[in-house]
Order: sequence, then structure tokens, then C-alpha cells
Amino acid sequence: MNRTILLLLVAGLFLTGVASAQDYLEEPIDSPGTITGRVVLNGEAPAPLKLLITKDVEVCGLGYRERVEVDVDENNGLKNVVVFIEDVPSGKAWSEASVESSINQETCRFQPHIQVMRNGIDIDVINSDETLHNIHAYELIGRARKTLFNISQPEMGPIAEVMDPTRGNQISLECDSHDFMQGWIFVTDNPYATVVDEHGIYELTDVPAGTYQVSVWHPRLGIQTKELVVNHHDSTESDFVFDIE
Amino acid sequence: MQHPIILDLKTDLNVKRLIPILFVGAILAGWSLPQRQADWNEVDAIFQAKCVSCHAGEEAARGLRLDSWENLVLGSDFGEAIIAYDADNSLVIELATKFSEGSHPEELGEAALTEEEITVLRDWIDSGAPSSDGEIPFSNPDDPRLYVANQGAGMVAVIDMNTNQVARMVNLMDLGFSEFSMPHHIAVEEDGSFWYVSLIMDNKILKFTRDNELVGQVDAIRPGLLALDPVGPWLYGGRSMMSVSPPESVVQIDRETMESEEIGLLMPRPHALLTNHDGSEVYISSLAQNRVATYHDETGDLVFDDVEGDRPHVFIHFTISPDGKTMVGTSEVTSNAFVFDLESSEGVALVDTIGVLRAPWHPIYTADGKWVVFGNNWTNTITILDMEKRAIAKVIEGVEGLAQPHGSAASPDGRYVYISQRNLAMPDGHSKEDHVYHARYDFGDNAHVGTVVVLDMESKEIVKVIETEEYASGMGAAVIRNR
Repeated sequence: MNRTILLLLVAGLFLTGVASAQDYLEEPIDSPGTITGRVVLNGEAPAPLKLLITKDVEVCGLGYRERVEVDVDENNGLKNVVVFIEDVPSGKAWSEASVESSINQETCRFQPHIQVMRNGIDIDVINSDETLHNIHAYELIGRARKTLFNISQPEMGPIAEVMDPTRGNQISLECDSHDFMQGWIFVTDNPYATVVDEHGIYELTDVPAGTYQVSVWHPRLGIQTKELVVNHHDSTESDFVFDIE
Repeated sequence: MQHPIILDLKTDLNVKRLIPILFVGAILAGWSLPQRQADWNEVDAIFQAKCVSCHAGEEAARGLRLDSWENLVLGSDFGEAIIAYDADNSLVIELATKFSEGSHPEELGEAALTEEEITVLRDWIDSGAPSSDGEIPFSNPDDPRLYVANQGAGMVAVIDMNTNQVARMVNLMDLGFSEFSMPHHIAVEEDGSFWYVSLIMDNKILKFTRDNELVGQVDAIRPGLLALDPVGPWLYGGRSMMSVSPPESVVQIDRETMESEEIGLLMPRPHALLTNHDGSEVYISSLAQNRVATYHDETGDLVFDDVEGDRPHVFIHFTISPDGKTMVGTSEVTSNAFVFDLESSEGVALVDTIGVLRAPWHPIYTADGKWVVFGNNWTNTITILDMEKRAIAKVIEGVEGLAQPHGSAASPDGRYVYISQRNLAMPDGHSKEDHVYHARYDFGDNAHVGTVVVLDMESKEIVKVIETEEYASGMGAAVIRNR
């Protein structure tokens, strides 16, 4: 009997733990604050990769695909960074747009190149090219990775999929038919995640007052986390710096 | 070199305008026409004065002996020192004129070659690097040759398979073809008398003599793989994967007249292409559909055999066993080696599927029929299949020189298998930086030199990395078929 109760307790704790990660609560916020800042690169960005297109040149382009792995503006503002707060149990409402996400494969590019998606939503994977695409999404788990979905799309148009990773919130998008294609998705359990603008500037709005672990993720430069305090009706400003040699 | 980003198919070359250029170019580029009859004795005197202190005898630096014409022609431990008729691509000239560490041997504190000496060497090489008796290196018509398309350089490298070094370079731009003609695949007559190359972007299939004289050409839209009919007069040309919607046909060319017809397939994106050993059947598969088409030359019939799969396999290429009974096909997207029974009463019958590492490319059967070898383009590996067990026997990885393997060929005696390597710039996760091949000598323009690795089938180890030009892709060698 005792063993059964123990197992039930453990199972209950486990289920509760899973539920807490998923069940973000939308509720009114008393005098929310804002977190703003800029993500910058300290050092010189590496030269873009020049990848020769070896297939389907009428839709993918003839010659080289220039892939900017670390992209900065003229003031070293770092682009393609996701800023997020991982553990926020409750707060502002999800935006209506949060349930309408898609991945578009157009001119043999994943568009957008990087985006934030709400966990568990239905998405459209769209092939806008007149050729076979085979999107292969991987959950990144440290140095390991695990297939999330792997869809062959010989025809143009959308295919329904679910964005529900179980082991990681960083998703690498690749195409098994075009080795030069690359995209990224960050999957979030709360609405406090955003992609920086073209100058590396971010803003997380309507944050309940409190102390948070705020993180930035760049697919090539990794993750940084810092503790920030948000006060009522206040704006907390904090910049992040990625060093590169 | 920077290509325009978008291809406009309507801007393909004006063929009529090019014909006179090609004709004149073919004559001017004939290798049998020496520019100047330079003297080996002059060259020998330079080598004696400036080179043999290191490059002579059994302990010669890098294994390169410059103490005789015969030893010079044997090359170094790594490959050729000179390429007859091509001073620009000859190592001795490149080392003396554009080596990043300084002019060789001056960078070692030795006396540099003078401008006059370099000019003598250049003239001698460009006139064929003859011996004092007038012998031209690698001019024996019986020596086996391997032809390597250098898709990124508009060149074809000709490798002597006895010594495994580059014997000639055929520069297609010198013959009037475009910088981006993209030579892709090569077929060679059984007796080595002629060879054929497809030019993807110039929409041509060319015919050369063994002496590399251009003697014929035919138009073909986005030609890709080539296959020779070993008995009849035909050369078949497939379609390149560069094109999304090429004609749903293969080109059938009379090799004597170089006139062509098209065989309609009703199958999109034909790619893999091979004839059986008596030329009676041609096997074609598609990048877009999971089926193999068999064209019967005598009747003109076309028969389709479907291959199961929940997505397009994207067939790359075929190889047929020496006994003609079995065919192996590779697939890019599903990464399989498919084993087909060619003697089945049910047509081309799939009898086995072997899962392999990502993107197996051109497969090749060894002459004993025991092994099938191919490179895995997306993992920088070479796979050897044991065809008795129908299983992977060995995967070669982490070896210098493996960088996006592409074409394959075998030496006539079956001892060696050759796998070409694109060695293009690639992102992390596709081609690990460790596996990108760095040229032995930095000449400023060879950061992504293509290579051919030589696999010894006795040890099943790579025994040599032959440097060619940018983007080594399809290859061809004379194949003696069992009939």
C-alpha cells in the first residue's frame, strides 16, 4: 500500500511539474513593468558563409547563397537573437497572433529566418517553391538533437503540423533536399519571448513586478542569462553582450 | 568568383554565335600543337643548379626527384610536379610564382629561380614537357585514364591511373565555353579512344579524343549524368539536379555523328542513368518520383517499376554488378542503397534496402563484384557495402580529404576506387570544418580545391589525396564490361 501511495505521489509530482511548464495563466497584472535593452556583439563578426547552390537553381538561385551566421548592424547591434523569460507562471495575455504561426519555404529559404512560437500550437509548414522540400526540424538538447518532425513536400502549399517539442525549446530547421537551408525557432510556454529588431533592440512588455532570470539566445553564439528586477510601472533596462574572438 | 544570383533560362548561350568561336578554340587548344619547342637540357640545367640539392636521390624532399626527366614525371609523394601543356597549373610554377610563404625555394633560404629560369620552365611545360628524346609525359595510349569534371572551374582533370597523378588539364574556357559551363559527368569509350563530358549550364555534351581534342558536340538541355551503350552506337544523357523542371526525357546521341534524339519518359527530373552490359536496356530514375524506368533500345518500349516510399527518395545514381545481375541505386533524401534484381521476371525488382549515412552519391561496383563503394555527400564519409552480406562493411570517416564526396570510378584492375570531393564551403552541421580539405600549398586561389581520394580496396584505406581544381564532381574511366 505504501509503495502504491509513493508511486502515485511521484506520478502526481511529475504530472504537476509538466503541467506547470505548460499551464501559463493569463491574469490581470498590477502595474506591470517593462524590460528593454540591446544585444550587441563585442568583436568582429565572422565573414558570411558563401555556399554554392548545387540544386534547383531556377528557384533557389544560381551561384552562391550568402549565409550570415552572425549578423550585426553598423553599431554592432546583434540581429537574430531571442530574448525570453523562462519561468513566468502568470501574466499578460497571449497575443492573438500567437496561435497563427507558420514556416514558409520560399526561394529555398526558411522564412522568417528566426521566430518565436507558442508551445503546442498548430502550425502550417508551407512550400512556396516549385520543387521538393523536406523540412527536418530538430529539438536541440545541448550538443545532441532529436527529430521533432520530418516532412516531405513534393507539392506546393501548406501541411499542418504541431509545434510541441518535449525536450528542448530551441529548434533547428533544415531541409533534407537542400543542404544550404537553415532556419531557427524558439518555442515558449509564456508570452515573454521576442526576437530582437534589426538593431539588436528588444522590449518585453507587461511584465509583472518581480525578479526574473532573463535570457538571450543566439543560434551560433549560445545563451546568456542574467537576473533582473522589474518594479511596478517601471522600465528595467539591460544590455547583453556576446564576445567573439 | 561571384555568380549572378538568379538564373534566367532565356539567357542561355547563343549557340550560333558560339560555333565559330568553338571551332577556332578547338583548333587553337589542340594539345598536339606545341607553343615552342623548349629543350629539356635547359630545364635540366636549371634543376641541377637550383633544385637537386634537395630534390634528388632516395631521400628527395617530398619524394620529388628532379634529377632526371623520368623521375620528374613520377611526381612527388603527393602528386604531379608538372602538368604537360599547362604551366599555370603546374606545381613547380605555382610554387615559384605565387606560394603564400614566398617563392620556392627562396622561402627556405635558397637561391630563387630567376624570371628567365621561370620563363624557360613555363615554355617547356607549355610545349608538353618533352624529354630530350621528345617523349611527352603520359602519352602512352594504353595507360588507363580517369577523367574528373571540375564543376566549379570549367575544367576536366585527366588522371593517370598508373601513378595516380594529374597528367593533363582540359580548360573548357580555352575552347570557348563559359566560365560557368559546369562540367558535370564523363563517359569514356571502352578502348579509351574518346571521352564525353556534359556541361550543365552551357547545355552541351562534348566529345573529345584521347588526346583531348574537341571533335564533336551536341545541344542538350541541362545535361547531367552520361551513360555509354557498350555495344551499340549510343551515348545517353540525363538531366542535372541543378534544374527544377528539365525536359522529361533523356538524350540519345549517336556517338559517331553526334546527332541526337530525345527519349520521352513521362517522368519528371530524370537523373540516375545507366545501361546494362549489352546496351539493350537503359535504367533511368527520377529525383521526383519513386520509380525506375527501363528503356528497351531495340523496341523503344518503356517500362516503369515503382519503388515504395512515403516520400521521394531522390535517386542519385546506379551501378551494376560485373555479372550484370544486380543493380544498386542510391537516394539522397532517404539515404538508402537500393538493391535491384535485374534478372527478375517482374522487371527491375527491388530485393533489398540498405540504410546508410546521409546522401549517398555515385556508387561503383568493384571489378570482383564483392563491394559497392560510394561517398556520403552530407556526412563526409565513404561507405563500403559488402554485397554478399548486403550490409555496410566499413565507413571511412575523419580522414583528411573527405569533403562532400561526389563521383566514383574504379581502376581497371579493381585495386583502387576513386571518389571525387567537392570541398565546397559548407555550414556547421553539414560538413564539419575538420573535414574541409585545405590545399597542401596556399596559392591564394585554391582555398576550396577539389580532390579525388584514392581508396585501396585491399586495405580499404585511403592511400592518396589527389588535388584537382574547384568542385570535383562526376568522373569517368574506361570500363571493361563483362559480357
